[in-house]
Amino acid sequence: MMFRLDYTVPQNRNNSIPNPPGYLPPTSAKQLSKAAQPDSDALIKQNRKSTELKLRRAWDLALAPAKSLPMQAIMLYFSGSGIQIFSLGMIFMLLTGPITAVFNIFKAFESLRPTVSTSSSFNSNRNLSESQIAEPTYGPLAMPMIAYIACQGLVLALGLWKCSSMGILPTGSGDWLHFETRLDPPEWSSIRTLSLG
Amino acid sequence: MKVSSWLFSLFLLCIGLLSPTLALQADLAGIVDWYLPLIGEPLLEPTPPLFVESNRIISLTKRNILAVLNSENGDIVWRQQFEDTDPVVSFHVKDDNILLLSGPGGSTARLFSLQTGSLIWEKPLIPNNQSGGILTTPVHLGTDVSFISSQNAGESESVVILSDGKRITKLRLDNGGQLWATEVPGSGSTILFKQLVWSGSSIHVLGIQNSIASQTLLTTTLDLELPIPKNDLGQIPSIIKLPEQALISPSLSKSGEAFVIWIEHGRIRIITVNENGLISKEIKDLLPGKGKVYIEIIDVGTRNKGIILGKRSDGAVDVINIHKREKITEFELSATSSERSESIYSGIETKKGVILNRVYWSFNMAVGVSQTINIADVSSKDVISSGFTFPYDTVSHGTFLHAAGSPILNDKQLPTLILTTSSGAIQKMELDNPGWVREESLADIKAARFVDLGEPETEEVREVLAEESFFGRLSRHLAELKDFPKYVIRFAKRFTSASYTSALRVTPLNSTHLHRDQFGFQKLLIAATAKGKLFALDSSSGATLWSRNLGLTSSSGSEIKIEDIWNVRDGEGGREPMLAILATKTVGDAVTTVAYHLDAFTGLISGEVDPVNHLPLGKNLFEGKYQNAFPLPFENCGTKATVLAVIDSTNALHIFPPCKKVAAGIEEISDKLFYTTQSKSIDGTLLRGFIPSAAKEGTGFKGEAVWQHPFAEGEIVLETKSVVFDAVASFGRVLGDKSTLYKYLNPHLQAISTFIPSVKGVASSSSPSGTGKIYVIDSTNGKIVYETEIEGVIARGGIKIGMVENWLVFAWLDERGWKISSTELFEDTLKKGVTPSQSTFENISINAITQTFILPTEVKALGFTTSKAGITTKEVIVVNGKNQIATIHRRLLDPRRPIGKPSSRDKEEMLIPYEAMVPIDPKKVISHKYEVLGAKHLLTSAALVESTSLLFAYGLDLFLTRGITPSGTFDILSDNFNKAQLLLTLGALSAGILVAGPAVRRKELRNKWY
Repeated sequence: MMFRLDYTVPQNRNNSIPNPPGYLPPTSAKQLSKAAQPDSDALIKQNRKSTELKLRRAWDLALAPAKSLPMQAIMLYFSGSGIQIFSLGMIFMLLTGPITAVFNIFKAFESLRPTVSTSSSFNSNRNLSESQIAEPTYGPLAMPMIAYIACQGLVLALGLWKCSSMGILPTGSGDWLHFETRLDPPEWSSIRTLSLG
Repeated sequence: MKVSSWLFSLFLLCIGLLSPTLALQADLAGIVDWYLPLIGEPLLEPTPPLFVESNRIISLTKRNILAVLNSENGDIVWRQQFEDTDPVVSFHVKDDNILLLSGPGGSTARLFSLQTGSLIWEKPLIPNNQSGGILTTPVHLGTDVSFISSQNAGESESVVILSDGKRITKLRLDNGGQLWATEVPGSGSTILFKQLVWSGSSIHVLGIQNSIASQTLLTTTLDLELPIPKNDLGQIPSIIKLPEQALISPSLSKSGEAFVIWIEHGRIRIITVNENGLISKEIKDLLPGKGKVYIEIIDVGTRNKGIILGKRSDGAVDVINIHKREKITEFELSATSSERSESIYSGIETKKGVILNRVYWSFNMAVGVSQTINIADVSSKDVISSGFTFPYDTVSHGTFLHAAGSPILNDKQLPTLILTTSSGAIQKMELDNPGWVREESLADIKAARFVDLGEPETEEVREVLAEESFFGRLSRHLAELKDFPKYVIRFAKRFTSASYTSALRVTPLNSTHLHRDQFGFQKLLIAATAKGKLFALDSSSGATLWSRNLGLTSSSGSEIKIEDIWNVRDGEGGREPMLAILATKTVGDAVTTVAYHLDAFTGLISGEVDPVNHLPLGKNLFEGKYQNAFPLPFENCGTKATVLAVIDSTNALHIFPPCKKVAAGIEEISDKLFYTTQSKSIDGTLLRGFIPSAAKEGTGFKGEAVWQHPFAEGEIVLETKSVVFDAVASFGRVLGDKSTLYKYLNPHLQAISTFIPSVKGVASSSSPSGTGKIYVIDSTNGKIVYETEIEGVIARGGIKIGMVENWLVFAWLDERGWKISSTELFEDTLKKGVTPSQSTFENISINAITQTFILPTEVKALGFTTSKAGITTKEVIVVNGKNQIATIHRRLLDPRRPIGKPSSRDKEEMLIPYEAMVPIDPKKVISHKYEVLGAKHLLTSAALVESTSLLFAYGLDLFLTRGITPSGTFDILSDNFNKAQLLLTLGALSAGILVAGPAVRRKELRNKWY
């Protein structure tokens, strides 16, 4: 059971105190829709504009890791292939960064969700479209998000490449040698048994 | 002012910290190792151990050593070992010098200082162009020494030496300069000269002429100054049976004369040789009117004083003065009797007289009896007889072989005796004061094994644990609660103050305290000597816990000859560890192989004992000697001891202890159980592999030959070593590119080194060269896994070989010095390795990587370190030319060391570029200041800590160290580690958390409110 306390002071209905300049008193949704109704075209225009803007920003965000790649590559090059605290720190950043970024991808793109409104839905079912306008979606962001993942993948690849060049990737058979097991030899000989006593 | 005092105290602190760290290594010297120098069993013929004034005992030993012992404590004052090709013959003491004859026929003379043991001079007596000396039996026949005091003032003393039965050399005593040398004129193949004496201006030489029927005596006389015979050979009409039964003695009354004494027809005969070498006409009886009573003349080293012992036919011994031609006295009760053992006689010359000693064992009283006859002046008739009895442990020491009496008697007219016993011990004996014992049989250890000890806790209750009910255990634990505070204190102490060095300072083992230390450095070392005596030594100090004789020892040797021992049961689960012993028993001409089970803690042999002498009987396995023996992968149902397989001369397999269940088990795996034998015939050595087939009651399993490897004709097998295959930590070697070279792991390998002389037949030079061959043979199928040939091997050095896992190391001597070769066998595959789990009958191709290095030192023995889990690097241990024991760094012997500039991959693998020379690092000498003479065998054992391995070196001297850490002490905190500081820091931090925790929580809560 949850208790929620609302500490907001209720609006003074007396209107004894004038509103500050530029303050618009909250209106009901009905009023708002009524008000929006006349310039819906402008609204759509504005909406499309902001969607475009958001998409552009989403693409920027998606490609940002790729842009930083050369810089990181240079830094990796200068950090050397020895196993030191600096190179290890960088590699740690390179390996964990992309993974956490991919896991937090929805959070990163959350603010860039456009509010999609199609003309058909707008015409046929106004009420429905009204609700659609209010709900921002990730749909249009699919491409930037894929690109974002790909770019993060590039960063990860850079990190892994660095790891392999430092020789800390378990790629060779030598890395798994200690996990190998062998059965006892099937034969007994007078020489093998000497280890018994 | 303040700053400077601060700095000063800091400086003091630094100095204080520095000194213990620097001294550490030297501190460890006596702690991690012990060393027991030995001399071997004394040589009793012709010069037995001699007690000289200034409390020294001089002895030659069977291990080719001239040793001087301190009679006070039995310590070695000095010793000199000689090459095997230069066997010691006899020693002769003159004042402060010892003249030593050595080599075949006494071909070399050396003079040593008695005090210091330094060599004063060395002189070869037989010219080089003559090949060797003649071979006589015994070896000392035909050698003698006589010292000549200076004739004129200022002239050096000299010595005349008879060697090779014919050659006489006169040397200056001070520098060994040769005054003259000659071969006795008239000496031929039938004449052997055996003794010489100096008298006046003559040197009289006594010889023996062999004729068809008998031996006759003859003499010759040389001039002292010039090697000219004064007269013809003087033939003495005589018949002698043994060369020992004739001797020559100088006359004390008439300068220049000498007497020849021999025994003939029960009478002691005497004849005079005058200064010019003329023999008196008539042969006289030394003691006329006594009849034919004597059977033997005993020369106890007093003939130069004219005193000999004559043994009568009833066994009694008379003391006879040659000059006075009379019997002075006789040893009381010396006639042969069933009440006492055979007597041992010895004598020592004093200034004017002699002291004669007789020692025997009295069966009636079960004590040793010593009789002494002191003839203070040989010219007078006064004789003082005295005697004493002494306690003596015949079970552990056997019979007396010799008793050297001291030249000075105590106020009771009793001597100090130095006994040599048949078990190989040297023992000091005085009236009411049994002195030190030197167990010289330890110089001849045949086999040794480490026995792991259990933990103290389980150790103390080991009798109870087996059959104890729950309530019994509960009540016992409750009763043991009273020890809990002590335990807590001990734990705290150990936790705070224990360190590497303190762990190394272990409490000595004794019969009640038989458990290991924290790190498993302390073990029981069971050593079996060839003469059938077993010793249990404390591995931490070398102290003897118990010793036991398995068989009778007598002057003719030992009945029991121990061949090998095995650990057949460990001490886990509250049992006593058990060992199996294989020995050959010789009674008369019959040789049997006997097996015993030994309790390692008490030294008790299980099974029946002989009702008469209480010696264990053991289990007779079969007639004849055994060829090979090995433990089987089966346990005996009753004793839970590993069963031993013993191969008899017909290649049949016998099991010990016999058990039907095990026999059935062997039959089950008979096609998977292989054993080898090596047989020598006129065609060369043959190595054969067998499997057991059809078992028959009483005869064991008949061997069925499955393969054989004949070595070439004339190919001499030098060493055969089995691969050491304990714990394998890694199945491969990781290369720089992270790929793997899989080791060729085969636990059935046998490494053999052979030698083929380049010149056939008996080699002319002392050390022929030839071709050496190395084989690595799989003993299951007889396949040669690896084979290589070495050119220009010099036979003298041999080829020392050793193999561990897949690493083969061998060292040999060629014209330019010692070489060591290191080979690693790998599976030739790019896929995953399959050994050792694959059957050896599947084909596996092998890639051998070899590298050869120059070693700046001789290799006398070769071994490897070992560890519990096999993670620690295995290093080669060598006994070098200076008789030091040293390890060689594994990375220096790596066969993958790159030639030329190392590539980045090689660097990744941390390979050192190849250099031909492998230096002997002084830091790697683990025997530090000790000279471990004659170390031939290296026995290693793992401690409980992975980093450390124990090493026991034996052969002559014993040396044991538990300080070999090839990879460093990575699992032991160093002594400099400040444990107290760590604990204090941890404590302070915990206290801080305890204090700060509530405070922080309070503060957080307050922050939420305000």
